[in-house]
Amino acid sequence: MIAERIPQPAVSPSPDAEPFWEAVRRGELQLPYCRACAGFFFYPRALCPGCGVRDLEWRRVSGRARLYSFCIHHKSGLPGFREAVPFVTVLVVLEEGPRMMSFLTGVDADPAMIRCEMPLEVTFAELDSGEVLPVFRPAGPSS
Amino acid sequence: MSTGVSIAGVGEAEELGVVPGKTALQMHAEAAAGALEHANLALPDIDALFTCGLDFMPSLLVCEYLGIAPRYSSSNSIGGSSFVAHVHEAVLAISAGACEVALITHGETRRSNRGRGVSPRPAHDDPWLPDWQWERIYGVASPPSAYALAAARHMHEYGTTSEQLAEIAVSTRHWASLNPRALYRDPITVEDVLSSPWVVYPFHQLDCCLVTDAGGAVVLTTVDRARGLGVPVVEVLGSAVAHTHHMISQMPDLTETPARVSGDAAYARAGIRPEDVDVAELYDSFTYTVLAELEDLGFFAKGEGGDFVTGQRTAPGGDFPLNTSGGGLSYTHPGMFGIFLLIEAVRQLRGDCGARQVPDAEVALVNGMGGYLSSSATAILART
Repeated sequence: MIAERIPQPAVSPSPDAEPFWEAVRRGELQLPYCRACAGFFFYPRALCPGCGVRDLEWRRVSGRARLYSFCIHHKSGLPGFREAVPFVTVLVVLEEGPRMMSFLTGVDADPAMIRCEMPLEVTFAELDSGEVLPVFRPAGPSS
Repeated sequence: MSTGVSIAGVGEAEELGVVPGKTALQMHAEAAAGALEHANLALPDIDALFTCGLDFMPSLLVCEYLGIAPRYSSSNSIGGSSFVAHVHEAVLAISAGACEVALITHGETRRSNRGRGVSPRPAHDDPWLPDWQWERIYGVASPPSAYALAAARHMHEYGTTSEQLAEIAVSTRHWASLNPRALYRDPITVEDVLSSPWVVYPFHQLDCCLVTDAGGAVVLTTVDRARGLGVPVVEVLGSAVAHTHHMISQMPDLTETPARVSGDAAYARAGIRPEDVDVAELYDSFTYTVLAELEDLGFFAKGEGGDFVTGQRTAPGGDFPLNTSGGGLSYTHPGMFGIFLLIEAVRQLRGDCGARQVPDAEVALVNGMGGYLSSSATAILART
């Protein structure tokens, strides 16, 4: 868990994504995997968006990713976010292929400190509500 | 080539900008009346209506308010591009004989609704929806954040700069200075854009469109019928619609919009090439939106947009007339802008534009961009 103050969104797991959120609460990143395509996809849904087949399972991923793009919010109308500006929202591409949105932590909210393609790793932030949110930080030298 | 369908008239609501004393439906009706007058047509001539952006059953609501029960209606809603997509649908419907005179209307009072605590559109508040669950939790709940993510990737891949994006805001404001109906008409500089407050990096306030109260309408009919109306004939040479995603995180390539697909299809149907376009009206929700559309519509290669717009080439007097109304950035933007792109293009082709008239404008390209760079609708129009 990280100590840094991040925005406090309301997490609202849908039934088709419950395994994702259960894993996150255990400090793991799990994604839906299509046996027919032999590949991961994101976000979770009732069929594989690559082939339409429903032969799916949940598998753990490495948590290693690269930064695809970012933006720095200097204002926000969302409850739980207004007090946390500026904060950095990122799109990351996981080592296993899928792309997901997240926060970037451990870096100043300064465009000079953030670059596309920088290596990242997942970490898990506990919110005031007790829910856990996957977020990303610069990859450590060991990863 | 031609689709055999023409835009016979266009109209705006009587007042645009900050109009707290009018309802959205008044805006629809005023604009419809203006467009019908422009076309030498009357309300009973209408046998198809297209609209969206208001309530759960928009075409029913607007038809009832106007006192019509057309034999065809559609509330297709794909974001700000919707009204250009409605042109595409109207061309198909008229060509199929499903209708003969189609009215497209739009009216929203997003600016003044803030003061009333009213949401102008159907509530989108189910936390199980994908965008709530996967994007809103990370602060992305409105277009500025989503478009900022795309712009930052473009800057990374192609070296596009904030100064280059600002050039678009400056040239668009210059056009607005020539439009008496534009909300903001005072000239601005690149430095003004760069020193305006951050909204969401890489966008400053002046990279972002307005939020206004406004209404617009467009009337289409067959070219044959239009020739008997005693008005200049503006033909739809070609049109197309494309979409690739709903949430920005699902966009296949952040630097390529669906305008690539809708543009290619529209050019093919129209039988023209980008260099044949005399005036371009491209959805400018943000400065970056315009840059991406210019590239994807083939006016130059991907990545060359920043250089292209440098030096005010797209301003009045430049060699590439772009967003001649002053656009969503400076003229008006009530939440969706597509109808106003069409209105300006038709006025340019009919020679109605006064101080901002582009000389000898014969072919106009309109491109609507909706959602989070999600949907694109292209229409190529020509005075014939």
